[in-house]
Amino acid sequence: MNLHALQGAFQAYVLHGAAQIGERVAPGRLDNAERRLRIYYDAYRLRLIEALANDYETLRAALGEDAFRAAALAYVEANSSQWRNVRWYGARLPDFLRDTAPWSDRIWLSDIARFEWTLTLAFDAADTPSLTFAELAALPPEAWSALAFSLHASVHLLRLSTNAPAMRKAVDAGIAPPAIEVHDPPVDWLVWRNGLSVSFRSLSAAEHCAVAAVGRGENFPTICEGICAFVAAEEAPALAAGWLRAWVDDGLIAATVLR
Amino acid sequence: MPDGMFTPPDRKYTAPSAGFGLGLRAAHYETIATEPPAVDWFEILTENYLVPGGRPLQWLDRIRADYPLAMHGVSLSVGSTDPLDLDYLRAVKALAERIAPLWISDHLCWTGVAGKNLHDLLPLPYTEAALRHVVARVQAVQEQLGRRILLENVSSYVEFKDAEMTEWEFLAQVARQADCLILLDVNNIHVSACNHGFSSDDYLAGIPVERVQQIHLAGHSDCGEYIIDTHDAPVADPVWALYERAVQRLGPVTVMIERDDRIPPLPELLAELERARALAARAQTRRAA
Repeated sequence: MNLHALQGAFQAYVLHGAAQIGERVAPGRLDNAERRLRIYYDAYRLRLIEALANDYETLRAALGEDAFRAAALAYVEANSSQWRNVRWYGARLPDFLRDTAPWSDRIWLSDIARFEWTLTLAFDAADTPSLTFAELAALPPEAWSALAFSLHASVHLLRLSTNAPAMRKAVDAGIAPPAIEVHDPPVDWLVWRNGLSVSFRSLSAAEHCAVAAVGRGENFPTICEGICAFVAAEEAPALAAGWLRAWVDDGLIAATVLR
Repeated sequence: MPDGMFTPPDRKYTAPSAGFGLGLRAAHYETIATEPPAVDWFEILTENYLVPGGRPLQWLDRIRADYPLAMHGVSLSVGSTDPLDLDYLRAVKALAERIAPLWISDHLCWTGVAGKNLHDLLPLPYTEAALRHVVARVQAVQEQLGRRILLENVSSYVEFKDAEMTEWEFLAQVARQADCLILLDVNNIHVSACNHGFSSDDYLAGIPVERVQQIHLAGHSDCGEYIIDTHDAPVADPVWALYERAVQRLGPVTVMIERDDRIPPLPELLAELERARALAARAQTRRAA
């Protein structure tokens, strides 16, 4: 068996328990090759389950240890890793829980997972500089008619049907999370990194509309137009300007100003 | 003791010893930044910092301002038959440009084939064909990175029937033929020696002294029938003893303690590092005698 075939057979054993590699393994002094091979099989699963446990603490708390490990193991069996860095391994867990029985029966599981994965994305998103208030204030008044902004690389908008953020806050504080609540209609949330700390807060429909418009690179007058669906037209510019100030203070707006 | 045990090492390939180090772990960032401990250098897990930005890289820059760092990777997969991942090598090189590390190391192993990663350090068959494959790959990696790399011996739980040489002969040949350096993990020697029934001293005697840039110390779990390299416990006594014999053979060589799980408060690791200093000093005295 050449090196490529040997590695393929070894990998097939670790992933699926395929027995072929057993023929190539030396029996060893205790003739326990099968049990020693099994170390690799077990370690693979344990390591990836551990990686998922680190990224999905709230899901783990909500499900309980045994049920979390069962879900994580099912994910591991269904998803081999294509990533060099195990940091990305859990990326498909929210979709897996949404689409796979028996977890798909509890839609809130996918909701919690999606929220937690988004937190990981904000945590190590690129360090793009944020716009400062001084830079914003220095813009000439005539610039505002064509002004557009872009969001910091860590900014994510997501719509949640559960109280996943409250549960996460409790888990972070080391206290028992509240019971799961299902919200109908769902609530829009903003996740971003302010400096080095990951933050999240809920958004009104109007502010969500405005942040999404910033993300699309729309200019300030268009952003104001969008929020007219929620507030009186004459209030929109002042409201948008106030939000913009708050977004800048919170580090949500990237330094690049589009004109 | 085999002949040559006390021959002064030829340092034409390696950098002078960087002293006594620890693995840099997130649990210790705050303590290291606020009360810089008496550690000569830190070893980082390269992949932890191959991320776009945020807290990990900020801490890295902050700690780099006070300490030399070495980069230790786990996913080079130098023994794999998949093509080399040039994007990964570019990312490693970019990180090296950011932190100017003492050196870059990874493992003499493979981690997956067919585009998959098993996130484990898997054993190679110690054959002439595998040797040729690995040597060419190490040379290509060194060309991409523009420097010699260090390769670490891994612990293993199986050996292959096809083996044509011992693990230490394979490691020595890779180092010589590819012109790379060795990160000698003393715990891994002990673990594999117990699992496969070879002599740790034979292993040590077969290592080209002049190629050893660094030593790893770590803990393991004794499962009776075999030992597993868990990195979640203090360094075990037989590993300390082997370390002392290694220093007798190698002379002053950079060493660090690697703890990856059940990470204790920093003072506990500093106490272990003190033990390494004391053993190294004793070994040096014996070596000089």
